[in-house]
Amino acid sequence: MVPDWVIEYDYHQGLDAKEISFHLEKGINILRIKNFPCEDLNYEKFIQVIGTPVHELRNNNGTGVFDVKVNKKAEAFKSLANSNLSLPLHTDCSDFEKIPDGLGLLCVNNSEQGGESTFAFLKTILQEMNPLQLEGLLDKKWHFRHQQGSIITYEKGEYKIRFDRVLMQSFSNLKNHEIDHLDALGELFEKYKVNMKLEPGDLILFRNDLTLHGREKFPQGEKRLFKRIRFHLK
Amino acid sequence: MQIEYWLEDESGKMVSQVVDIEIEEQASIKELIEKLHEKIGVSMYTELIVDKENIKIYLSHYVKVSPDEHGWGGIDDSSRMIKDFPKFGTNGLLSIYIENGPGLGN
Ligand SMILES: [Fe+2]
Repeated sequence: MVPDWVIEYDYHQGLDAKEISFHLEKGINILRIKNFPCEDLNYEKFIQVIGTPVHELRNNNGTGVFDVKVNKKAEAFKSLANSNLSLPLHTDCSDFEKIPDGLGLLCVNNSEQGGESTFAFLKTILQEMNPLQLEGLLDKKWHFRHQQGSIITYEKGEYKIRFDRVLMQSFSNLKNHEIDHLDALGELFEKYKVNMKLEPGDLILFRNDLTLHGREKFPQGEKRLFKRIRFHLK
Repeated sequence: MQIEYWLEDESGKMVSQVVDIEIEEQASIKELIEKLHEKIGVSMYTELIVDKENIKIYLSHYVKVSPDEHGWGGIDDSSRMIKDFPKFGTNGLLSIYIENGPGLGN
């Protein structure tokens, strides 16, 4: 059964890029495309139709694609994405000056145990939040490493979110009351968490500025591989 | 040998410096990177706080592979000899970028 927060497509039945762009623009659902070919160039070409991929140094050979898989040498991981740890709900690139509003995750292989993808929609969170809480989040400025800003912003008639607990806590000296504040917020987000286990060939697309995402922990030996593209919607 | 390295400063600006490292060009890039970190006193890894736990993450390294300002390339094989890497830093030096940013966090 497809959950009501998911719109599902099948690659074999042809994809209408306009329709996909329309749904991403609205940003209410997670779009899931079944049977998407697991090949970097074709994947990036498809994303280029709906947006502009972000090219980062650590991506695969100068492409817009980054392999999210376990990469551990001795004691340390190559990055947090390259660990098997659970990732609390967050938005990507919260320290960027211009935050990519689109995110694609293509499942090449999932873990047998754990590894579920998790989401919480800003729209749902806002419905449950009391006005005082919302006001506080719009007002208070946090350090997202070198960027300063609010967790929730209101731009052009639309609320947007940026939140990355790991980054906010690891790269700045938070005061105890701020840590408590983030704890409470994390708990609130968790209350509205939904999850989905991707299967090989599933490509999910969603709004990075309207949806929090994360993942559940999985055993370190599992060959889980997701291909990530961050992009700016056209 | 002299090499150039780039590191983000506290304000997030990339700054470069030239250092002298005692190493043969036949040595591996891995060895050079270890010696570079030792010389400049920067740890090979950073720690992230995830669910109240401290997680070790290695810093990432890139080599300048073209004269372009953003011409950085990853090091796929850290056992490769230093002499096999292109030298596109200032004055034809080998140039290494040490990524210590939050990119490691997601
Ligand atoms: Fe993420």
